[in-house]
Amino acid sequence: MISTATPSPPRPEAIPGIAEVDASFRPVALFFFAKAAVWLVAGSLFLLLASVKLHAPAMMTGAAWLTYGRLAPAGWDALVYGFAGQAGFAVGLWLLARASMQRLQSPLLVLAGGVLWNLGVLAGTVGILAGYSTGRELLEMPAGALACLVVAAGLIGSAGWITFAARTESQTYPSAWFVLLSLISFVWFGSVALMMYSGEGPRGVVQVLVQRWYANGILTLWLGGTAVAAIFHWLPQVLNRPLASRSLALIAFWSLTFFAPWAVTAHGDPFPRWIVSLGIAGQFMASIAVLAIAFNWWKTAEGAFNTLLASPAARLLGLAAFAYVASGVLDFFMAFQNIASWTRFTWIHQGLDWLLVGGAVIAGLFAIIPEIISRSTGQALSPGLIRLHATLTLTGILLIALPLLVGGGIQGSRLADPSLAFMDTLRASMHLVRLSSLGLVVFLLAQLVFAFALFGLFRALAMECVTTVKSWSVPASKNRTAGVRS
Amino acid sequence: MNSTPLLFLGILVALASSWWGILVAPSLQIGNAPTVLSKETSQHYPPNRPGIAQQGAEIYRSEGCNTCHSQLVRPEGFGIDLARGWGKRRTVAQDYLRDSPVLLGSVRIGPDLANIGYRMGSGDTNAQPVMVAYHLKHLYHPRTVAPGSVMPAYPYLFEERPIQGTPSAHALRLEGAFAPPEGFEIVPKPEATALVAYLLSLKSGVSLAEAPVPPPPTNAVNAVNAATSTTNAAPASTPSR
Repeated sequence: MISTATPSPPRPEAIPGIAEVDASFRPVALFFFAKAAVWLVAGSLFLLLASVKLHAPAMMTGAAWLTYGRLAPAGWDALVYGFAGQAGFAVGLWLLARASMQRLQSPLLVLAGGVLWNLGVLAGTVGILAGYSTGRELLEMPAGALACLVVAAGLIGSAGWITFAARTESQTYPSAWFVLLSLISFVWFGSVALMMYSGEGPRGVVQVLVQRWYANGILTLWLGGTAVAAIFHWLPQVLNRPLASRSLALIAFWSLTFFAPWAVTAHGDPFPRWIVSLGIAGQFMASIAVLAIAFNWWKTAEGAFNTLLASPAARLLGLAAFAYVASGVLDFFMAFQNIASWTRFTWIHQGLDWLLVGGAVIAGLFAIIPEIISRSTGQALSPGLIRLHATLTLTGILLIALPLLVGGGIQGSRLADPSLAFMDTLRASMHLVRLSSLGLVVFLLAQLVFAFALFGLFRALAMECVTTVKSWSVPASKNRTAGVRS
Repeated sequence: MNSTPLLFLGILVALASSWWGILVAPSLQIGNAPTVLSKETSQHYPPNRPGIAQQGAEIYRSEGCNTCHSQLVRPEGFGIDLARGWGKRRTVAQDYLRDSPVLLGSVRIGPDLANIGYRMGSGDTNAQPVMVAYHLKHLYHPRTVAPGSVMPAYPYLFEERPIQGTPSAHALRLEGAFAPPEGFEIVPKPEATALVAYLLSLKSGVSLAEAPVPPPPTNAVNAVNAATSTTNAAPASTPSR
């Protein structure tokens, strides 16, 4: 809107080159990815502690903030809002700027949003650990913290839409649609949840519906949307071939937007039956989107799957695409009553969350983050560390998610057997929980490696700054060329 | 897809439609449901929680008990919650009218608690102090009463203090490795007492029109089933003295 408002005909310089688009991203990339990396380390550490407590319950029981019921939600929220959401915003904006062939507009709005976002996550996580959790899954943060997040997402999102409106590319690319959807989603679901819980809030189980609707919305549209966008952008690039079908992507986009928010499954829950049926119908309809996306990616990659195994970054991308589709397929099956009856209340719940948030979103983001950093800052992260990080992340996510899914299956079949005592239903799946704790160790190591690589980059950038400043103080003009950026 | 305002509007309409369908319509239908007068107890159901139990609900929320415990009995055909002895009937929307937040829970790392207030010798008026003592011990250190349990201990809800004069009547009776050092006693802080009051207030067994309590088992097969289901819940429900 801003650039189209100028009456004069666009000058040729108004169309930025790729390098300019990328360079406009530098402060945002540095700020968002650095903060996200810190949250990722904190979140995985909390989750690791929580997971170990499941099989070593006597460990660290002295302090209230270290109890499982506080650590687990705090860790998960740090992962979801601190890392996935934050890094997702940055990746999303970059994809949008690239697809629009326009410099990132209003970067100050984005940075202000970023600061507010981090304050919100900090207040929320500390709040949960201090016992101020609301008790609602994914909405545990106290209302004030959530309000910060909603306003921050509004600031960041509007910069995204402004950039899109100022696009110089005539045809829009699918990645842009999904990013735009994702940018609206958090603001929408977050503000409605805030509004509905404000004051006395709804009575009884309507509260649960609000939470389910919110959680489903932000996982499938906000985080899922960014992951899908990243894969739509990056898959053709890695394979060096065009996307199979733009129109199929269009079908996927609108079916996801229209149907996924309805996919609130509630088998056996204390709601009127029609709500349960509506949720099942929504889940089935949302599967159209997953199917269309899967077919599109499959057609794009057909015959070149080896490329997706060639490098660690490509493997992360492959994992992301696979995990996204797998979680969609599993969600589809969970909509059936007889399957939901035994998967309900088991580790499968956590396994599915890890498959989507860890497998599709975190892996998908990490497949592209090093590229964004090197392109926008002109400095590459250490290639060795990035390879190590990608391998460890992939191993970690698989080691966390798969045992939880299998363990959940075992737990579910045992829970369904009335001749087994409750404690025995849990015991049988405990060794798999141990395995997923091991996965969390690997995952935490991976994120420490990434944080270290990022630290190396900041050091290099600082050195670069020092060199530039020094070159200013030397009067000889030839020294000016020593600075990379003049 | 090439008009920015249209795309924005399209997305907004899509998102808003689910809001109407999944949140607004149910709010209109069940959001204002009144309490019902129960013939059984001639009281309004669900009853108001006593103040101390309400404080306990806050502890339940703040410690994140719902991370591992559900409060939901699914009907026949949706798992075997009834056969496990977790309730006399399924739970319905009416049961949760007084709860805020409503904590259904999503994972059962621990047993369901929708009817924990009924378990262990319900009907026996002398059972109340036994149940309170059991739950306090369980919270202080779950392995004292349920060996092999993976539940965290909550020692910070209790106070270890030197015995002055006669031991406190509220002190936990702990033996062996769990006992406090000589001359010390473990007494519950108000938080622990409130949490137990809340747990004992968790009862959704009043017969409702939409979820009647089936008559007690009359034939031998049902009696056997009922007996097994009580043993199933053993770790959580057998008071150990």
